[in-house]
Amino acid sequence: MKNLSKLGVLLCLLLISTSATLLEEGYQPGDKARDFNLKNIDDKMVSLKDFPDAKGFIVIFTCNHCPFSKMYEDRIIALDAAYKEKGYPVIAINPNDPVKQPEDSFDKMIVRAKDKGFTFPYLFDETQEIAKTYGATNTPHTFVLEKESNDLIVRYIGAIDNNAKAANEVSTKYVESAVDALLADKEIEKKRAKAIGCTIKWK
Amino acid sequence: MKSLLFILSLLLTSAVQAQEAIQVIKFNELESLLAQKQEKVIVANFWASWCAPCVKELPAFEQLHQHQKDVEVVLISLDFVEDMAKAQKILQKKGITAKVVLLDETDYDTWIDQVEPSWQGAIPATLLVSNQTDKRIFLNEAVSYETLLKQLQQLK
Repeated sequence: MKNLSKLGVLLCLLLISTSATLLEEGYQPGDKARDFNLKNIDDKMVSLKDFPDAKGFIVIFTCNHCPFSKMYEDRIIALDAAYKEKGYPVIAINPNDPVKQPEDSFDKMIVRAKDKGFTFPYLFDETQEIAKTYGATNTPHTFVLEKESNDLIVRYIGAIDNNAKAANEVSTKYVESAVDALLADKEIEKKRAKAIGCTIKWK
Repeated sequence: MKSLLFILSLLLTSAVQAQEAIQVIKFNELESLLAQKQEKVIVANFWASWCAPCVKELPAFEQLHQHQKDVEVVLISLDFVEDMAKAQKILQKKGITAKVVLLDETDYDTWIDQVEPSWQGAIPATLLVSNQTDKRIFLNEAVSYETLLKQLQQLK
């Protein structure tokens, strides 16, 4: 009996450690993604369920201060312009702790969105729970989600394209190709692509 | 007087060093750098002038370079080649004498996995490589000198 309870404890520990690792790793393409309820720059709460007509979403973890995020701002606006009408709106989320990076405070998000003329929600992941669950590690970090009956399925994870420095020298547009494939009901060729970026400023 | 001259010469050398261009390398050169068959452990730190936590931890790597003679420190700048001056300015300000290279490979997805499959691309990132024991440790976070020393013990 003593041994049995020991085994039980061991099993519990094993379960806890496996789920902890899974949590740390975040989503993989094919996983179900969770919805969220985060504050937008207009003070209203936004959830993915608020977009009944969307076919899916281009969720981008980004922020104000990171030079790589800044290099992509115009391209993120262009993505929203190209794909919102087609059913894949951009949802931008700032996951950074403003105590660690004051440039990424909620007030400064409002200013940045206004200056750049963001056409999409720019949400604040104050508890960092969504970034952690999704497995975002750096900014910008994109997750393309597809609606499938009542679920949201992760279809692409990673970089927006393969040249942060120069938009006119990009040779592979990862996110566009992924969404185009989804719209054409074809298999996505590249489901993950990595890029250098700023570490998310964790609490 | 002698010590004054010594300090002056030190200052002069460091000023000259800082003005030297950073060696620009491609990924294959980084690979051979990391694969060097030698007794020394290689501590490769990926950083950039625009990355505040990276710049903040540079002195820890300099300290390692100065005090641990069985370690070879390589600071790998991921700045764009056009921004090399920004990196040089920081190195000069922080008095860095450790080896610095600039990795000119901006199609990131082609090489990040080859450095470390678990790396998503966030910096700071540090790789400790012992080609004697064939052990590697990857740290995707800001590190202190003490952390580096502790991790080095694990490689032995």
